[in-house]
Amino acid sequence: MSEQSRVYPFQFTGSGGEYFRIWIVNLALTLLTLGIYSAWAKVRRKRYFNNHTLLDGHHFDYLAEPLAILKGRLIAAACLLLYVLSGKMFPLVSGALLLLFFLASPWIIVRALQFNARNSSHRGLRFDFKGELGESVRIFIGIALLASLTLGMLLPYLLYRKTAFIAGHHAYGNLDASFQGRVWPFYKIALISLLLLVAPMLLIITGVVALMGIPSLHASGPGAAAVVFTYLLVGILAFYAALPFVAGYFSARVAQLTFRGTQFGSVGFDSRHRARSLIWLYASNLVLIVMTLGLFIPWAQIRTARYWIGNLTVIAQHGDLGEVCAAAGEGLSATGSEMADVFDVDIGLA
Amino acid sequence: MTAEIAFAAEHFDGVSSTAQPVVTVWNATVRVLELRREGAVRSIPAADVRIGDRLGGARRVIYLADAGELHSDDHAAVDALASALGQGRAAAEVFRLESRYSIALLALLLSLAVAGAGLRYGVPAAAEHAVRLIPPSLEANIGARGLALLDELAFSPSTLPVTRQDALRQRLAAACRLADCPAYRLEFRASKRIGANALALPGGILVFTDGIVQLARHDDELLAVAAHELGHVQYRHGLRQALAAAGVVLLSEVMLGDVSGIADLSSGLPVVLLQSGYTRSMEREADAHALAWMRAACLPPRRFADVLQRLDPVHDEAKGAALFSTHPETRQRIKVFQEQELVSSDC
Repeated sequence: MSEQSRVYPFQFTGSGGEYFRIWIVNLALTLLTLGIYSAWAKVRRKRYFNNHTLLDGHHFDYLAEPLAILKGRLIAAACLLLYVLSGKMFPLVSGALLLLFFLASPWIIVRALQFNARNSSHRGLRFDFKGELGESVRIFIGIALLASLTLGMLLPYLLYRKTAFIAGHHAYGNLDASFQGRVWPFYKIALISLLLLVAPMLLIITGVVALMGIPSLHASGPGAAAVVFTYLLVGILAFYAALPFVAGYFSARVAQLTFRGTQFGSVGFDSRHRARSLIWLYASNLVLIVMTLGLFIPWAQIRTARYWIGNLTVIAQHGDLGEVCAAAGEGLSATGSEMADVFDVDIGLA
Repeated sequence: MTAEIAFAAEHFDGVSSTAQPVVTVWNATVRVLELRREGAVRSIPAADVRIGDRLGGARRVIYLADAGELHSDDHAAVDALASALGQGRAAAEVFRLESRYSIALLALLLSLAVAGAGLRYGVPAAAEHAVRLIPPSLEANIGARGLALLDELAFSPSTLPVTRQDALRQRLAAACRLADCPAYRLEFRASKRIGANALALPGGILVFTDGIVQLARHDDELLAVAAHELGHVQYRHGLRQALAAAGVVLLSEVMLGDVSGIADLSSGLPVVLLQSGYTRSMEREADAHALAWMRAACLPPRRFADVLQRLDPVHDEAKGAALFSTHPETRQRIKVFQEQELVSSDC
């Protein structure tokens, strides 16, 4: 980092009580309009989170037309209905539909990322997603299939390619993003996660063996079966106990890799997301949601957004972020609103 | 004339993303929005001005078509501008709804009520209408495939003598001359898995297991069972149930789609719980059909009670598992048929 580089923190200013009221009114109006309002509800939800995300004092915006989202939702609902019905009556057809969906997924992913990016703006300038269909097919079909054929050996590589594809093909105005991460750190995270998952199982099973003895394979009868069963049960419990910790570690580290590896020209990111904070966040959210029968969901969403956004900073390597953003608009015709007219269907993934 | 609308804002011209502080003034006489900055004035025609909806405490955005956008915290002035332009009335209503906890509480209660009523009454009613759109030929096709699948998974050929099978078919055909029957076909199968049982597949295929034929002490009891299954055929319950299940999935998607997260965990559960609820009301419908049909066919309704009682051996027990058992329901069903007169007076 040069001496001139300046750090700009992201801020999230949303509040749980305010969002709860928006959330519940969204839900009630959606139900009363038989789902039609859900498209407007999505715009309000996305706008709430974007408008309360500030960088250098300026907020983000979400510009999607509810009708575009409604169209996408109707298509998605029709597909879902077809799938559920055919599953009951013609299992073969529902299998074919699933295959079709898998084959279409690279296209759907690109279109969803495009829709979201082109409808997100900051300081009056829109984002864009420029990933190409060919690469999407290679990643989400080619490498995904290879990864399952190699029993997961390629999964970290798949994650690396996905991250590079998504993070590296966004653009802000005329400023294209690039992703400079490497493969090896993804393997390191995956290996450590695997270790964190397996180690407690081994440790606990060793402890149980030390206490109860090795189950004899020659012995038979219900006693031996019970011992083996106990070992299995303890192993499975250890696995589930370790799971939230591993999930917290994994998502924090992947976030760090993603953000630290992404650059918009001379503008980079830093992520201070930590595994233990994420574990606490997810665990406490889950407990509170269950205890309040779901009523805590809006607060949980606000807490989650505040944590993710609040621990993200932008580093402008050559000084002023405002100047960088100003340069991003140079040579652009207008706000780019004409693009939204051509790509006006939200596939409804998010 | 109303008071002048003027407020401070930041202008992003959509090309350079640097904020320019401006004073925004609404000129009502020529209907233009003036952006004043250091003596310079830029006029935006009213047609190019779109006021962003108010959302919580977030800054307000005014979109200016090709001229970029304005950001401002002066909600009162922006609201005044919106009403001068005749925009955003619906959005203002939504904002009012979102501003109060009392409304939030009301919305919560309303959501619970609508969701409950939708699942309890809306989905089955919608399924009943939707089923009319499915042509009978498709339904028959579905039933035939279903039987083929069951033949592979759960059934083996019946061990009943062919003469016995034919005698039962003729008995049912004779009853159908007295009482109306939908198109049907009676099949016999052996099955260890489902034991003494009978089922109706879409398109009118009735399947009796060897178990239920042996359990019956009188052929009229089997006709009573057939009457109940014909009820399922008449009301196309098989298809309706499939449609209702799809409806539950859709409704929970609509409700929880924006909530997400726990939707994945919980979506399987209500389907199972509701399925049994829908099943129960369909059983009642089929029972009512059986009762009317048996009267018309001059069969004593008691026969249905007799066979139900035998199908349900723990019926008159006191095993104490009453909380979880479905038996009170069965007992109720049996009672309805027992209380009928022996045979309808027209016979």
